[in-house]
Amino acid sequence: MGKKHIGKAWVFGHNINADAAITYSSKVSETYDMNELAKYCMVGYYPEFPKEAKKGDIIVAGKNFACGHLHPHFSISLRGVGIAAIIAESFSRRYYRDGLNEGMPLFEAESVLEKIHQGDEIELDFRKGNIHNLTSGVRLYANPLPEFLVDMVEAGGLIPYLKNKLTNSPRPCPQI
Amino acid sequence: MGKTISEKIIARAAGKKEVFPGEIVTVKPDITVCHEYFIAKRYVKMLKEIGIEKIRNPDATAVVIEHRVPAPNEDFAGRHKGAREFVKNHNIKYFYDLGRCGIGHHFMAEKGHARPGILYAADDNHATSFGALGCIAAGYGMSIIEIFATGRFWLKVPGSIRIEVSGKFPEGVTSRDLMQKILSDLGAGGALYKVLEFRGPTIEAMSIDSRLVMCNMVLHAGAKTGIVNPDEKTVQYSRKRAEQPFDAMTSDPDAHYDAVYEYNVSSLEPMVAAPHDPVNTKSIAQVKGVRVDQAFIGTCAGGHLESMEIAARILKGKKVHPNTRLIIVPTTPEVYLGMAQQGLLEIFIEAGAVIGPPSCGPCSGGHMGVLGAGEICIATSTLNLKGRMGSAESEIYLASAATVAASAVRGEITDPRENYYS
Repeated sequence: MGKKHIGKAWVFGHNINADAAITYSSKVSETYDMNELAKYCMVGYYPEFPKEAKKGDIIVAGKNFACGHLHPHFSISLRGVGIAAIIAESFSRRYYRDGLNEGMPLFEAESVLEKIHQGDEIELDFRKGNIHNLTSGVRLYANPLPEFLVDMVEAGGLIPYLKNKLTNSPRPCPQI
Repeated sequence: MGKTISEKIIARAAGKKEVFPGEIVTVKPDITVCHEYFIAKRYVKMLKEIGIEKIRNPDATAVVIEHRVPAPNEDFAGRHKGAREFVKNHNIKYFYDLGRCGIGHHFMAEKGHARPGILYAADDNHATSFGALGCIAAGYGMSIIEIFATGRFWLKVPGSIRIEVSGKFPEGVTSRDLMQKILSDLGAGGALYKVLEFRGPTIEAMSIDSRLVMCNMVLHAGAKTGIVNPDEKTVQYSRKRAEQPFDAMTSDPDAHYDAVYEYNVSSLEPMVAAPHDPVNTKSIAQVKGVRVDQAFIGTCAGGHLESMEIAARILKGKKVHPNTRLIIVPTTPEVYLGMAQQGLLEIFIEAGAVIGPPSCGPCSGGHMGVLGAGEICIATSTLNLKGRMGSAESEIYLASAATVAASAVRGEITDPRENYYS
């Protein structure tokens, strides 16, 4: 994400089910391609999303975002569309892991749905956890993440992070 | 203050004296289990990108070929081939191929890999089943790569919710119905990031199979995992099967729980999850009479020997309804053998059911009973999201083996407590 990011907010509700969001099925499961999966991104809740969402947009949600069984195709579809960050009141444990591992900046904050509305312009600083709603002026503060997880996301996710660590570390296989 | 079993196990895996809910630690899993479908298309590429030629911990890694077996199409044939090559290239110690493998989320208990006191890491989510044996087990997705590269992975320590269960199940009502009721009360996020710790006389009286079912379904309430404190039953089960030693840790009497919920099953009714969400719970009275085209007994949430015994009691001497198909898929070869030895196969065949090889079966809509448009299925499987078993125009109801068997006979959703249960 870099230092600060500004993007448009797409607001969804509570308990967004990750499988339902991409109408996950045996057919969808066949590919892991980002561009193919982008076509399914959030369609279960808003069918026009892949057409209307732009690279750099931000998803905003209530509690338990991306709940349910969750397959990796969900996080891949978000990367495919180019979603830059997700702000939610809480994340499902599986997406908390998959999202961060895929390099998606996740902001967990209170009363998100009261403070951010559809189309608002949001400025984000991931390392500091600051959320600034430029449209309304309201500020929110995300629960802090450990440094290494912030480093991991800013490296682009688990894979680039491990690649850097292993090529740069004097020890053969450093622990994260 | 005392600690919960979950806090104790995670502390041990983290190499720390103690851990606290909410903190993020790195843990070393005792066993890492890959279910075959991600290996060829994801892991191989990822490891190459990082520059890993040999995974860190092949002696504590297992690969199971069980999701779609035998390979139903070229895509899966490729995935299986890739998995076999991966096992060979990395010298993975534990490998179970077709004919010598069952659904990972049961089979790994039979093989003693899931056992009390350990940290069990899988890629697939329903690994939570193994909490039944008093270990911390869950699916961790891409973190498997972190384990392959470094031997450890990051984990947020969960709080615990205690679920106290007492009372005796009425005839026709099972652990599956109890779990559905609990999911209904908690809702999709009611146990977010918590461990559901099941306790009480009803849990103690439950078979290992029933405990596996309880712990399997917890993720639908957002839980990290489920767990049952190991008792004599658990220790006996694992002692017969585990090669490695194990430490049957239990919760301290003064451990802290974020909430305590009490259940009494004496007046519990059969419960059903209606389309298209596992927490969309109805009592049997609300859904009985719905036409059933396909009935399925199987999966890590209902294909154990105990489920087969319950189904056989209902199907004995009866026939599957002429407008309905009944598909039965045992979880493992051991279960399949048990069915053969107890004469259950004969009961099922004579009833007109079809029996499939130990595997996930039609659960994920790939083969062995794909649903067409307009069809309705009742199943003991794990999920009923729209299109899960085939057409987006089909519907899936989830229920206990008793309810599914009774419904297969009537051709419509049926209360197993009625005269079909003898």
